[in-house]
Amino acid sequence: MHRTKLSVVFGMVALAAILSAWRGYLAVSDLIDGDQTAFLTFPLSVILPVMVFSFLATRRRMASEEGALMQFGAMVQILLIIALPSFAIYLALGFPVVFLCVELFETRLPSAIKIAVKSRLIA
Amino acid sequence: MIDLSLPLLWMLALRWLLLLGPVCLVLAMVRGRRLSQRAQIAGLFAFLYGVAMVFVTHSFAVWMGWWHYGWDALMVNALPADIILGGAILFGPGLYFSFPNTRPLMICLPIILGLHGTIFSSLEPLVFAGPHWFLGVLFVFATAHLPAIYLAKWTEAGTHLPYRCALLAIMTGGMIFAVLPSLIMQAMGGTWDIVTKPVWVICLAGFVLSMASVIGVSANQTLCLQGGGTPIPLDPTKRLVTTGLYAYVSNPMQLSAALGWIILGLLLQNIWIMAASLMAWVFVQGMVRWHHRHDLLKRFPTGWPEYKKNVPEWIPRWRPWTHATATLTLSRETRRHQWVASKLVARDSIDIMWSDDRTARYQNPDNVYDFNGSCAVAAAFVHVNFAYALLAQTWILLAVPSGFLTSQLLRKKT
Repeated sequence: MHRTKLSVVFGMVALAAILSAWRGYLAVSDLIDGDQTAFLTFPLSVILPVMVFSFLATRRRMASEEGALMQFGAMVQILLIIALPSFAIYLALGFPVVFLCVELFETRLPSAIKIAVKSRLIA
Repeated sequence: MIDLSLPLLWMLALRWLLLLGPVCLVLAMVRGRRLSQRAQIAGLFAFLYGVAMVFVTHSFAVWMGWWHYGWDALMVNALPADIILGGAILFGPGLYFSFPNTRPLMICLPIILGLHGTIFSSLEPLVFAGPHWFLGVLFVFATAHLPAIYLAKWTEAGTHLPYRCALLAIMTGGMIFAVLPSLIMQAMGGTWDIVTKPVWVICLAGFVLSMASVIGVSANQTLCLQGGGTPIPLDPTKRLVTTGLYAYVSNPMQLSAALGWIILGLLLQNIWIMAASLMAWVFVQGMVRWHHRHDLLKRFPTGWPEYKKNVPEWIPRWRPWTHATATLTLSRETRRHQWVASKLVARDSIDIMWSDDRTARYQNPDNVYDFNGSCAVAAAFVHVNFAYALLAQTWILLAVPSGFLTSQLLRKKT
């Protein structure tokens, strides 16, 4: 069984928490100023991605290293979706690119680079 | 009819609730009821079907003027994306997990009459009800919500495979031809303005689009008939399928989707929808190949590598790759059968046998479902070349479900 290193997961969870709090603050301050848009979009653009992120973060046993890398890639993509609301739709539509990157990483990259990256990310 | 006239803040909270309520309900059910993996997959299918069909039916409802939505936030095709997702979750896995042993119609009726019937027209500015809105509600329930709950029920029980495959095909079609193009147009610009195009352009595009769709839908049918499963890897086939259009190309569904986006992009003069076909390629390179290595290769360690070596992923072979010789049994007394035999006699992958039975029969050792009558002749013509295969599979695509539905109706009558 393979899993993303705990330190990496903790770092990403902390980042997700900071980003969510920042988006929440923006939504509430916009609402006070009379603009409802950020408040209305908050559940779909922040809460739901955070839920998916949490689900992925708690999956600790992957059948293959490739699976662990896909989990990591998907978590990074979700963080980008939360962090960059103006680009969220493009990032969501481009989600398959994450899996392509993992596939290219696994099949095309020299072993030395693969081992170095995996040793830093996967336990 | 109840006139709620809720304050704005309550309406904002209601909009949050319409997405987060169903999500929390499903999470509570999954945790509280300790649902099996199969039940969770069933819920996922109901959700996916719901997303596609709620989107399509609500778009139709807005177009018909049955209702329209207020607030210009998260709008895709004049529909709020969060409400569409919330609806798909609530009226799919949400209700199914909550009432697993209740008939879907009995789940939906109280909601249609009790909830929609009383408060739907008083939810402004969330939604503005137009004339005939109740007809729209009935339409959405009949085509989106009820089938979604049935799909979940049948998937968990592992029954009604043909209906499940049909609903999954509808779901895929909705995703490919409605949801994704709408999202792309939301992001990159463009409209669904088809009616202004010349009639011949619409007809030509419709014909080419249906031929491209035949590739995908027929592959779905082959997986159902010969594989005993659905095209979705979470509810996979029990056998390796190498016949039908799979004898020509190993990713017929992805090919069909990519062709569909190219044709739709040309029709709508939208380069970004055409570019979505690149995303189909990306999906195959990243996800499908991974699935092949980790699922198909492990389940079919001898059959899969041989098949993969001989059948291309994207550009179909002109002649089929066949693993075993099929048998077509014909009647010498029938002229049409003699004509069929004369056309197929040169094919190595098919043996012609003669009998007194006037009904043609097609048997293939690689298949578990044998064809009779016109479908047998069509299945034999799949061995000729890709063009014949496409026409033959179109016939099988129409004739097999028609025969199946007729037999079901006759069985009910007797």
